[in-house]
Amino acid sequence: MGAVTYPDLFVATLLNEYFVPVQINIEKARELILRYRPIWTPNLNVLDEEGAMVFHLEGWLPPSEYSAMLFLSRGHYFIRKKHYPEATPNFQEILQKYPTSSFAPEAFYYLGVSKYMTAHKVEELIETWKKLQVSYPYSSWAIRAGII
Amino acid sequence: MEKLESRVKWEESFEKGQERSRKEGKPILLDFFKDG
Repeated sequence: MGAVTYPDLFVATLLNEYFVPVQINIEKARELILRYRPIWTPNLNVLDEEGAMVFHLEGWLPPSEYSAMLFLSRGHYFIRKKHYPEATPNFQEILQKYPTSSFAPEAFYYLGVSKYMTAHKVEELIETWKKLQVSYPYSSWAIRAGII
Repeated sequence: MEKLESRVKWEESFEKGQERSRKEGKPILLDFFKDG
């Protein structure tokens, strides 16, 4: 991650602007290891102010995927805080800028959730999830949206 | 060749990161890494 992804200007801008980035050597942080139990690196964790996990991912990501992951995890952060209108633009950003990202189907799913939790219009949820099923029919998120 | 360096402004410690997170209302991105 340090050789390719973190030197990327856009990734760094997103991290510096919208997150508090902390990097910890897995061999030198016993308390945090006991708390978050990482077993593999790279190991990324997005936490709320109290340290509760809102998103977790293991493995390397190139800059474009890392950027999409940041928007997705930021959306999850606002959903957990029940700030639904603030979550929505993060999911939309992924679909507009990174439609081929591996995170796009999940973004579609939670776009439906955040819209529904904002306005409580079930037709909006159904419309969004139907678009998810058409756009990413083989993703697990399309299956999960199959309840509609 | 230009050396590639992180442009990310990493916090000095988890505790300082959490303090800033509370103050600024931003999520923490905690990256566990291993040397080598």
